[in-house]
Amino acid sequence: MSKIVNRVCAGLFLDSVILMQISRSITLLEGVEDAALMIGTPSNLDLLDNAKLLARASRKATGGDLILAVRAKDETAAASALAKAEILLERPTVGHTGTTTLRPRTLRSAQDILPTANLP
Amino acid sequence: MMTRSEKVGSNIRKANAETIRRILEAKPVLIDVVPASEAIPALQEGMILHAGPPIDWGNMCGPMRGAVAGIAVFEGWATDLAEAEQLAESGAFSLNPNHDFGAVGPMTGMTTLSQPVLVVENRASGNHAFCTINEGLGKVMRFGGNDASVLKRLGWLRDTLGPALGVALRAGKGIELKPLVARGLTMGDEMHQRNLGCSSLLLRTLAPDLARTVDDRTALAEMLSFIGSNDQFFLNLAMALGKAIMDPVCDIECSSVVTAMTRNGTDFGIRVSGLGDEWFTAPVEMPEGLYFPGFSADDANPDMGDSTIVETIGLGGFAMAAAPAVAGFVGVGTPSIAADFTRTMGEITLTQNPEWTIPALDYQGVPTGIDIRLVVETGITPIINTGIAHRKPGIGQVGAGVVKAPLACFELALKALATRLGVR
Repeated sequence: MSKIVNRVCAGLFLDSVILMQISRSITLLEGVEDAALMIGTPSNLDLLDNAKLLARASRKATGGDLILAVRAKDETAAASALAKAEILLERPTVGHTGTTTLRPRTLRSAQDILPTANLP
Repeated sequence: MMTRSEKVGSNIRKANAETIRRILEAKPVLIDVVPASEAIPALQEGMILHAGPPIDWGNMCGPMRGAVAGIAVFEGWATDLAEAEQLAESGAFSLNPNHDFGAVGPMTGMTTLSQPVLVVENRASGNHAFCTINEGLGKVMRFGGNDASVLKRLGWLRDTLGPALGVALRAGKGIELKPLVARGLTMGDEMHQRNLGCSSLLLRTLAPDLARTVDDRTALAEMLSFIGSNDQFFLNLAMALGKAIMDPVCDIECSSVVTAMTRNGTDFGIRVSGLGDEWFTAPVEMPEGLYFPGFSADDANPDMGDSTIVETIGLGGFAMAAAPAVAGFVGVGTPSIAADFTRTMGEITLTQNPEWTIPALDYQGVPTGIDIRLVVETGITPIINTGIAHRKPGIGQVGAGVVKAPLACFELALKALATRLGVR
């Protein structure tokens, strides 16, 4: 019997793209059937409900809350996935944080970047 | 004495300069909301305008078919979805691209007689462009939704919100859209996947006139709540603004600038100024993206919608640097490399728009004026930020992501332009 575990973090906001990335990594964990981290807007509550991820108590969540929702094969797997999600939320960086230097692909844009270049 | 190829090159340069001048000098203003029948007199009973280049029922993807069936029921042309599908199959409906009627529509892009449309006037050229009102998130017709809840919402837009917005707008002098977009770009909007800043700015501009003109306070609260809870409300307006800017440049002899990019879920099509209203199409690509719970790439429909008009004017994927989070949709992409996407689009565009600047790029303007010659020369194709629909009708949005325009459209268009200009 699958186990659905939710945690509602009141007053926590994070951008939806990073939430979707964390969701994807939690879904890949051993024993996890599906998982999602979403802000509790009405349309997101519907999505969680349709995906069989929403616990009854979480229906009261609002657009000011962040819901962590996991459906796993058993309670242990669900608890461990939720713990992992909380760790990722604590430090939601996606790894690469350096700045990059884009190399121009044409002379035209190279000259745009460096207008004083000594090109004929 | 110029050689023949120098003469052609010179003609293209002059034509492109004129194209860019008209794009940059456009003055789009939201002036009204009226029924589509009023905005587009050519619209008839049984006519359905859709997103993308021309397509018949037999080649339409699932969500597009779902939307056609749904809108036919909504307009009273069929009693239920099954009958609507039979009618569509028998050729009872006239299916036409929005782009041929001064209109644009997101995703499936349904436009029919009774739907209210936003009217954007380009005060520099006097032309008008139209787009329906954004339905919000969840199950909606633009993503192929067609059940009772979807039709009920469309009914409310037609009977309540549309007319009220029309009255409120006519009470004012119109809302200038370029400064709104300029501000949105500084607030994290790129106007395709991110419209929260502009939607909020628009609501704050509209609210006083709505409050003055709507007597029923419950209805007013419902309208303000509908707009206020829809982060993408401005998208349809950004699209109408794009169409209003691009229509006056759609037929400049010798110009190699793209005037429309659009997809119908089956084909991707572009138009080029120097080639008028001819479509150059190629099979549409699958977006790379992230999915809502319960859905995966297996559920995704190929790329769809007229919304790529925003990339055509330098927003959306071209303005990724303004909305760095969106870069996270791309494979190994991270927000810190978002500016690279914008800079790369600079390789295939002729100029930057000085009115639409991005603080994170030291106030460079968004890359503007896609030149098909540069696309083919570099092999760099326009990058597009998009929503992802379920491939089956009736389900709705399943995710969001990023997709590239197929190179073949640009190659075909370049060959056609070369032929037109007598270059072998």
